[in-house]
Amino acid sequence: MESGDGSSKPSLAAMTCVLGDLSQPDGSAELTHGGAVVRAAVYGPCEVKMSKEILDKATIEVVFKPKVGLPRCEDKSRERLIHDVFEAAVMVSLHPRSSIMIVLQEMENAEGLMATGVNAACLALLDAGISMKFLVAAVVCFVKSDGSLDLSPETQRGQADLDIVASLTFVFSEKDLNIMCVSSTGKYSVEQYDSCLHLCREASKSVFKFFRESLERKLSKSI
Amino acid sequence: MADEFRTAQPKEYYRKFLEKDVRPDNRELGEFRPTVLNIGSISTAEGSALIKLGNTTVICGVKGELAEPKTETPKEGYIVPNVELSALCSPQFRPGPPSEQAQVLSQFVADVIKNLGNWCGCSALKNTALPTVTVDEETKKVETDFKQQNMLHLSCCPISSTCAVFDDTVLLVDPTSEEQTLATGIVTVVTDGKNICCLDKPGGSPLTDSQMRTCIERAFQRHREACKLMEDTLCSIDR
Amino acid sequence: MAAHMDRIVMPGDKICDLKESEATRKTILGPGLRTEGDCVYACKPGVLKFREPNVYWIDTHQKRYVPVKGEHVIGIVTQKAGDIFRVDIGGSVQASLSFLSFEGSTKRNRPDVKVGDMLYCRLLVANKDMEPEVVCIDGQGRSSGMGVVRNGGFLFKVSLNLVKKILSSSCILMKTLGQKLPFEVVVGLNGRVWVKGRSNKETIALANAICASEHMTNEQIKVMCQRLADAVAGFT
Repeated sequence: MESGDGSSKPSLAAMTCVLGDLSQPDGSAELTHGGAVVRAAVYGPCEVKMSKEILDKATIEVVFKPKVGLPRCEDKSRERLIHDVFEAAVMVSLHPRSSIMIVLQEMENAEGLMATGVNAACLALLDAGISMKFLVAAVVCFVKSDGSLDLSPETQRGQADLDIVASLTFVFSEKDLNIMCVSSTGKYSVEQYDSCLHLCREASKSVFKFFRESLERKLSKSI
Repeated sequence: MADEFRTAQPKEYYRKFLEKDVRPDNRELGEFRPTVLNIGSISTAEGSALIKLGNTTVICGVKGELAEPKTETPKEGYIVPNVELSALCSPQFRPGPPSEQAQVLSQFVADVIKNLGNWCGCSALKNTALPTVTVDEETKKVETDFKQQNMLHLSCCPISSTCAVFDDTVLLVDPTSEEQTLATGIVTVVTDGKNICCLDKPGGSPLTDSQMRTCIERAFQRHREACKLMEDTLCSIDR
Repeated sequence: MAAHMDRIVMPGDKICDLKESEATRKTILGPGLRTEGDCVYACKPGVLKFREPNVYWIDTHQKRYVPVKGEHVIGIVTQKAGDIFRVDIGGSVQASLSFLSFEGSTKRNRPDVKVGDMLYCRLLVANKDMEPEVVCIDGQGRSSGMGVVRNGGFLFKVSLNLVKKILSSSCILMKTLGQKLPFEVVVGLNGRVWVKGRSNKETIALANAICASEHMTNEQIKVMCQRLADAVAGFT
């Protein structure tokens, strides 16, 4: 997925994915993007707990499992973000009183784990053949201390890059490339926000292309 | 009659108002609820503040304690934010262990504080269910000599403001809890006057760039208003 | 029209220039397609298919079954509640089955169905807002092959695509297997397949053959069946 034109413009790190390698879930995907690896599994539409049942649409449940230990507040906020993104993207009204469960397992943590998680979940939903209104793609952008922007920082494994002062994760819908979701850490100016947005929007096109290619590979085999 | 209509068809009820660019509680689309700030309301805490924003009230206390620093950051202190949503406040909250919403909010507050550099006692409080409250507070750092207490220095003063998206198009600033449940998306922007400290739009309906920009501009405007209010309050305490 | 045929589409793709039937000026949209305003969008990833004169649908690779009225499925009885059985058909909700929906059953003469039994049945009611209902009789009150499936055999799950492939008239898998080995088979559109050969060994071989045929062409299936027959003959 690298632009590979040798220009100084920040480009996205390489992405690879494996679709449908788990036998039990209805759809699964393992996505590697730069240093981050997330495995996603999707079940559904299946039975829902009475307490979580919604009368006119499907309940989307998201579980984010960290590499070690129990889920923390951080994981809860990730779960909420992914839940809200896919609640808007999946056609929930098609399956009332049922549950669509997305389970994400962090395999390798690196900068941009959140974006990888959203993209992995999207691939798993595609693999499960769940009806969606539009595709979503997440791109993360980093602001360095010198004010430059980067899409794929080279970090030592397991070590935070001290040069990064802020990071912005954008989720775009494929339709019109509008902003579905923004989440950020660190401080940045409005101008930096604008340039990050522009950069990520351009990069999201290549993510959508990657989704298409991955699915084409899978479908040409199975249908 | 209006009440029945509101209960039966809440969205339709709101649409009727929004056609005329006004909200059921008599505010304009871009208007905040009246804000009341009281500082130092808890005498036992090192620093505290109480904020009323319309019918939403949040109280925040800051306690300083001597503690062993974390191994990853041996030269820095740390902050443990904790948001409690007590069942007495609203029927949406249930008693028992912290709900998912409370955990998400705690994390949000932690993120905001982390951005402010080390050891500042600036606590930004936010309550999404009945939204947007930001408090920043003077706290006293505890030194080894307990007699000598310094005012904590704040690197900046973050203020958050929330916009709700109604019917994918209309932006409502500072939504009430009812507006929030009807909304198709929420955007929260935290600014310190010059920079954006935190931007949070967890899913919901997609927004265009210009809509996002409106939210950000409104947040900066809100920052100026809130800072003035805060200064006034601090002055009145000194007297 | 050729541009649309067998093209891979993704959710959110706009599909233009759909062919209308000349008489009614209408286009029939099948699974995976939806309308929003005047446009047609895909909502599932898959291959866009077209059939004369005006039918479009998307072929998706899917494992989870969503009940469709009139389809034949394999269910498992999970509960007996008064006059009604609960049947697991692999959808999001369990289906109900009245004890009167069997051939020849009356209030006096109850069918012999126990919890855990496997049923071959047809969906009478299936829509998103109602609990699905299955029956084991056709419109004339005859069983026509449906009912409890007993006496051993092996039940396994495959993807929905494979089931459709096996049942399509262009697939030669069942015909070819049947020439090599005698066996019984029940295929439910909910992705469940039950087979029974002459011995356990043959049953297992048959199940493996069905699973393996998912990505095979007819030629490859022929070769595989031949090999399978040779191997089974070697065993016994």
